Amino acid sequence: MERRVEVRVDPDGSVHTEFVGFLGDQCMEAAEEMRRVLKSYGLSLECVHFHEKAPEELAQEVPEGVWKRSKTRLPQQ
Amino acid sequence: MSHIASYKSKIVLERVAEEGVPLQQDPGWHLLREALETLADELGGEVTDYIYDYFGRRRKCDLALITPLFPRGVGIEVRRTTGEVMFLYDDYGDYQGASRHLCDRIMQSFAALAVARAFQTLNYEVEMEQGRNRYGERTILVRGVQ
Repeated sequence: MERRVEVRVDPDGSVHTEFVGFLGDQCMEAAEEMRRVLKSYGLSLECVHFHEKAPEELAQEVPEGVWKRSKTRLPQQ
Repeated sequence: MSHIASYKSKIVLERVAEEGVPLQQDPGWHLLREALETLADELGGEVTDYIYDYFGRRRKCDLALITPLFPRGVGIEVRRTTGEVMFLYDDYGDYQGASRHLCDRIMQSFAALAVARAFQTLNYEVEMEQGRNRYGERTILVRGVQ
């Protein structure tokens, strides 16, 4: 399944990101990795707004069965 | 879980501060120069290492962009102890709008280039396009696909 990150850079340089098609914690991991690489290129980001997508929003971007599987957490070993 | 987030951004060349490397060895420095060169082409300006003050005196800086709309120019200075990038200009008179606009354009171009480069590093396919917001100002959309 395609994973997509859309980044809009506004006229003042502020940055807005949307992660689409990521399952479970992959999304936060990808965002953290992105911030780390951006920092190495000199762009330091301070989060001012965060919105976790609601199940209805997720259902539109990820096939239902896949999304349900992603919500299943394995027991800690 | 997917999400949407917004960030305030600033430019910090951390290798300059943390490892004490010369500016030319920091990848962010090359992106800064690229951002200024792109804008110079677009705005009919030039990239220099000096700006002018109100009295026409030349002041040296690390990098600068001089354009027809703001001929005194916006300079860039990197604080060697922290890596922070600061804008330097003299907009006394009628240039407040022009200086602010140019600083914003530099910040926007740098951020867009950094995002595109980060996507490449992380093995995303990258697309860039320009748009306009509701006020008619330029926005840049960078899309990374895996």
